[in-house]
Amino acid sequence: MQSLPFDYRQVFSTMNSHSVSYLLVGGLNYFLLHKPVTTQDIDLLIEDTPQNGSRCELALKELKGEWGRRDEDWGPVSEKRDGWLSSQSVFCLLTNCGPLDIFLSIPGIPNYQAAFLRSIALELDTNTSVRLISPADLLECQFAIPEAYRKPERIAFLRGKLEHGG
Amino acid sequence: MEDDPILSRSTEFDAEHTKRDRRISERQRRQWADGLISCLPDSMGYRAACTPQARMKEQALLNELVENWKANRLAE
Repeated sequence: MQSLPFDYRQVFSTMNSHSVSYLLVGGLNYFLLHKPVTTQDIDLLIEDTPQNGSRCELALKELKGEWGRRDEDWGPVSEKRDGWLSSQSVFCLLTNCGPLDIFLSIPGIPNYQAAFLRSIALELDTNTSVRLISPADLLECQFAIPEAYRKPERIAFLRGKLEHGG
Repeated sequence: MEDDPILSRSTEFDAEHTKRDRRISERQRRQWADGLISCLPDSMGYRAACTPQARMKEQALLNELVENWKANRLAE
């Protein structure tokens, strides 16, 4: 990667233009919906179906994604065989819009469709919208991972928000 | 019993924050967030996280977390 931008709007816009079904999870979700904490990648949970995977592969090509299972495989996703996105649960890519993590499954979210129905739509500008997992689901994600990886400050904030009907 | 001074200071701090934060509009908050995030490429930590090696390390950790969670759910 020549430059290291962090253009999440372009990522959402590209995913939307390819009709990828996805939800924003992780630190950027917390950043946009709750508090401006530091985050250094964009975490997307995509619906795990072959059709959606194919659409996501096209979007990642357009974002000039680079990925590899190992050092030797690292390279542009445009050179990967169709269906490469179904080979594991999580993919950590580099794109021309910044580091991007694609989750086909994520701890705390057992059912994508149910999480989608609970998600929150956010219009960032007239051309860009994104759906974010709900605060309750974001909290579930925290509890579903080992304690060492949890973010106590986020847990306390989300709990407080949910208790006050936020 | 006397009030805990640390707790009392933290409550004061929270109240101060709340007072300020409710004066910030949603639009202002987003603008500020956009500005903050546009500075990310200047961060050494961000640049270090943008190497293929760092991404693969993160990927291995995340896959392990997800696979363990899936295995635990199946076992339940």
